[in-house]
Amino acid sequence: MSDTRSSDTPSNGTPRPLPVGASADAPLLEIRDLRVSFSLEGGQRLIAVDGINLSIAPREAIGIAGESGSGKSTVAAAIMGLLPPNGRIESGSIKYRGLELTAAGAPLRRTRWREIAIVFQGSLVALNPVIKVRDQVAEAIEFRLDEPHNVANEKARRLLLDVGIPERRLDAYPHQLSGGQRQRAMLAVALSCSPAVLIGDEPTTALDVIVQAQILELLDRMRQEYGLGLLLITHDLAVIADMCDRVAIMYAGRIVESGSVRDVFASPRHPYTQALLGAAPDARAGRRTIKVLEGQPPDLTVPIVGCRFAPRCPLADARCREEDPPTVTYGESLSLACHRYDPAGGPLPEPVDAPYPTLELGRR
Amino acid sequence: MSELRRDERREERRGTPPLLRVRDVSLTYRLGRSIGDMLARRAAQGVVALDRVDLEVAVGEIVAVVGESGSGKTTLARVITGLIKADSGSVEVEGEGPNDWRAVGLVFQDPYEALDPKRTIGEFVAEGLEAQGLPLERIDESLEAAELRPAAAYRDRVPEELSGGQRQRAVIAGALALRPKLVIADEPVSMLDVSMRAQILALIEKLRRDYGIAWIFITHDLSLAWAIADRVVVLYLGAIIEEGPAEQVLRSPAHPYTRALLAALPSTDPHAAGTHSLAAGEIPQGPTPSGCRFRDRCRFAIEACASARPALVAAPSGDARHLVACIRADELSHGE
Repeated sequence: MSDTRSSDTPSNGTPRPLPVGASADAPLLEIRDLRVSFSLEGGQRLIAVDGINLSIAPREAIGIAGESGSGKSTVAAAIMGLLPPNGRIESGSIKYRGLELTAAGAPLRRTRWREIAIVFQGSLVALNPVIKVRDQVAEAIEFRLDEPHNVANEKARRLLLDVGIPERRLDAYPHQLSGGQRQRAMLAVALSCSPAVLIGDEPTTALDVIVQAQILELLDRMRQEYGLGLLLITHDLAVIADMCDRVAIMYAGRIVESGSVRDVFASPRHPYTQALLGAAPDARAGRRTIKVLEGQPPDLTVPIVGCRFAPRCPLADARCREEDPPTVTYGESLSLACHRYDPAGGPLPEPVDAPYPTLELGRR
Repeated sequence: MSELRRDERREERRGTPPLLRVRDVSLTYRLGRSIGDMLARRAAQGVVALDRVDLEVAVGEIVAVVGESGSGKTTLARVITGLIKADSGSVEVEGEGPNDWRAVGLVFQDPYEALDPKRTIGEFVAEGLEAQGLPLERIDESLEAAELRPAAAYRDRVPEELSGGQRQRAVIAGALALRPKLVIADEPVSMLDVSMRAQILALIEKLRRDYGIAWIFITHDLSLAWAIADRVVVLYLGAIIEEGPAEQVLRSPAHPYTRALLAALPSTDPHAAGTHSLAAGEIPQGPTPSGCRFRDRCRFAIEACASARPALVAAPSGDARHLVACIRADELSHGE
């Protein structure tokens, strides 16, 4: 597959042609039955992502939520082709506008990195410490988009000002910037090639809450202005509630519930979603009672029998421990993998409350 | 004026002597002189880490100290535990000066760093006991108090064999072994997954209930502070800018900074409004601004805010325990 574009004009709203083999009618990003494994020392194999489906439409914002080890960051790495050497896509497909990304070799890498950008949690590692921020953005534009140096430099300047880096800071080195400014600079690098999809992997996790709110506002503005599809990966459900249209809840490598943010957050149905939403107190909502989820996620190097959440689920019965629940769609777009709901699908089901032990905080 | 205020507050609490009394503590970190300073014959600059901080904690009380990075909250924890010495002011535990710090335990944010990867958690707990010449029988008792039970199942494990939540329990067990009356927990759950967090919060509550342990819970998370604490103290650039009962501070925040912290909190409640950033910029890293230390970032700042440090006075909520350091607090409370 070849890359034919060289004269496209990013950052100014002019649409550039699609890569060869891509289709404007296909979803921006479409993941089907993706399975990713890691081989560990001693010949063990860990299934980090165990058959997930996800698609993102243009201008849509989707959040993937889950705890550490749920596989959420592995999904991002697989999309970007950034799996570590011991990681491997076992099966399934990842398509950008219908263009298969998993099968491709080097020629597609450039397309992938131009159309899909990623912002990580630690901006200090992602920015080169010995290059001034303006030069880092300019270089990205120069090399990935084949722009002449002076054009790239001017674009970099405009982009950095746009993300809120003050003029006098354009020629600063990353360590001279504050944490929030570094995250803004990272976003400028990510947006420098006018991507169609932006992935944020815990992009605000290391920031203080006021700075986090500033960066989320910026991310949202950039999404509107650039017409980006956004895939936001975070452990913080509240950030997803604030930013996204849809949410996918991951547990031990599988999406256990997904749907519109409104449907999922207003009436969580999967017992794990209920636990996650109930586990943190919420001052804005005036909720002090928290649900206590006991136990640990399963060992992913051992084949899982039955529902992977069954050992921690207050609703689990014999069937849950034996049969893996299928993922069933309800209403327009709610998906659930839980035996407590009708396997035939149908309209949105009434939530079945899982009786977790609760704890009322702050009472003497 | 601020002296008067301090005496009044002391007066109020005369009935029950506090477990911890931090009085008028200040600390300035001195930075090395830069070449520029030398050429300009300037003295080395200092960064104010704590500025006249008063804090009292009663027996069995949970006090949350809230602030962003750079607020001085970790410095305060270190001063209270005696790890660093303040330039001025005093710290007393049960009316005593710093000669028996066994009464104060410390739990850090990162259980991965607090524990030696090569040593078992039994050895970790033993370390503190041996240093104080205390009986090693307390190892099992502490592990079980931290809900690592049966202790025999955990004592000989190394950190790698424990989950993040279990490691934080091991760190708490290490603190409990010395039978503290007060434990200072510096962001104890911020590195943990949400389901682990609930377990640790439950443990903190239980240890307060069963053993009457008081906690200073240091956090950047106002939701958590509100939920777990009896009282909330908000720190900004080394000074207390608001304090009061958790309910009062969260329901009627009086300082623009506290309001900004609250507005920035995302919520999963579909009825809660979206977040917004009410304050510009970030905590300044250089010298503290004159006058109100928050004025550079405050959307309500007026000229008078630059002239003097605002004193901590009664907040407009009317609750005598609710204090705020903002000259416009009364006026702003009418605005909304």
